[in-house]
Amino acid sequence: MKEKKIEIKYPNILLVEGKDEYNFFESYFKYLKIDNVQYIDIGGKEKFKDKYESLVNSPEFSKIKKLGFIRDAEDGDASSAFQSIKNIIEEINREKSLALAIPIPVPRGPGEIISDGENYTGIFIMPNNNDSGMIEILCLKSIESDPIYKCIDDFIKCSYNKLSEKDKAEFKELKGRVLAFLATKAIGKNYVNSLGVAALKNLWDFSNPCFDMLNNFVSKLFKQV
Amino acid sequence: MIYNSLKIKNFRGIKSLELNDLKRINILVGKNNCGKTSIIEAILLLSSYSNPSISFFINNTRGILLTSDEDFKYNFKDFDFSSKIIFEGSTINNNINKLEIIPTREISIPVIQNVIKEKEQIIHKDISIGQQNFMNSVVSGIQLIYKIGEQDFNFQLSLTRPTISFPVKEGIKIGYIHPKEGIHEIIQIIGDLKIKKELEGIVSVMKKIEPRIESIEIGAGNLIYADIGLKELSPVNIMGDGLIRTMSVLAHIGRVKGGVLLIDEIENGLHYSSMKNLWHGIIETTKKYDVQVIATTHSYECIEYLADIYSEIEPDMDDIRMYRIEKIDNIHKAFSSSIEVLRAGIERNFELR
Repeated sequence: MKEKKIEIKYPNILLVEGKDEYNFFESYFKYLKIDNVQYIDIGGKEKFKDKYESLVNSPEFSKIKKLGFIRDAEDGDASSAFQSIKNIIEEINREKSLALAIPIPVPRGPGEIISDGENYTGIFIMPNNNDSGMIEILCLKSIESDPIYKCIDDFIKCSYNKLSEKDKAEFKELKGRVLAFLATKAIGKNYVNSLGVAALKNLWDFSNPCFDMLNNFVSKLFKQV
Repeated sequence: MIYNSLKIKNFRGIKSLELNDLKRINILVGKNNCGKTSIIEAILLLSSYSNPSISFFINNTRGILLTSDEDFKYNFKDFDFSSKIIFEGSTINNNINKLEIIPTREISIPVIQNVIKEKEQIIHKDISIGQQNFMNSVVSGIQLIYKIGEQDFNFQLSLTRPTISFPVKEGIKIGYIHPKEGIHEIIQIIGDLKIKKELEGIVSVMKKIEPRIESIEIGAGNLIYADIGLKELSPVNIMGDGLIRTMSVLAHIGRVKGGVLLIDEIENGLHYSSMKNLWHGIIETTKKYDVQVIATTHSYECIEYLADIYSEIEPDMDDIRMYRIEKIDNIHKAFSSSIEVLRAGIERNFELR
């Protein structure tokens, strides 16, 4: 059977860049008791303009009131990831000026919620609107006080030293740490192998202060009128 | 290719709509009653200045038989004759083609004076020809005022009066395939293409879809036959709806060489597996015959197959647009997607219609 098409159903939309993030926010928003948001996996930064434009062109986009973007800074800093999204929103606003009843408000910096009085937009760059990195950093920080974390740290350091120089250059340490942590949770049949599903299983400590900045952002965007 | 952009005002349900950046192949999508068919009709009227009687025809295809000149109101926004219909198309030659449609009215001249006998006195009473009389005037048809490039001309069309026409230059070659078109409607077209030695071009494309086809002929019983290497020619009627539909669309493209083909509900009568062949044929023949296609569809598969096959045949070209028409707060909007945007939307599984 063909997969059901993704339709815009809510006036509050959070655009995330992968299945992991989709599952993470589904669980995180349950924790925060935010229940009026539709998460859409818009995919990675590759061809982001085409993907965003396609969403803007889809039915009911004009009914969106609050639009959030979540993106990893990755190896660069937050400002360049932010700037790239900002440029695309502005470009589509210009190109679609005839079709869009109201242009999408454009924030001036990462983490800012901007409004034209009717519509709200915010862009959050993982992990903290400033540093390079990704969602894995927040999740790992949330379990730093777990006694197992020390074992993971030792394991990763030890394993890294055994890698060839070529593999060392390509080693995804953060993802490795997440997977190593999840390996320690393979208890009974209840084991998982992705950050997103781990979130659905409540394996990350959402109450940890490392999530405060993210909490403030999504709460300000989606909880306040 | 003919049109770069199009503006429509006060036609059918559309108060105002613009389509920009039209390409060789254009798909119109949107919910029911969003105005897709009205756009097709608008282009048909704008382009038919050599045959403006098409104004009668467009209502027939909707199942509306005009019985009086008053029925021309169905073309006007909110059936209001006071809103002038305007179509404007900019062409690739940087010409502006414009059509305005207004009602023509007939006012019967009243008796200027009535003579009333009252108590043996003779009173002359004036009857004014004022606003009230004008408002009661009868619509006696429509006037089509064309400005094609630098040339102006107009027509008056009426069901009850002879058509008044003015000399015009030859119009844009335009074809229209309505949702219920059957095979009998293309026999004439196939015959004409044969006479003009243009049919071979269509057959060569058909061969890529159905390699057994050697030639297409019109034979006894006014049937279309295909030579598929059997002892006898085979009536195309028995070769499947997909093949018939594809042949019909390609024949129309051949007929309007250098012009525009409008197709309402292109997916009609087609199993989705035949759509790939149809698009293959359309992409090749529109290029070969320099024809612009503007088609409506409700089918997601139809859009997917167009994106797929176009990327396969012309990977570096940007000659396709999809327009999703939506009525937002009673205003019609057109959201256009290039092939790249279409592909991105399909890859993300977004609803595109």
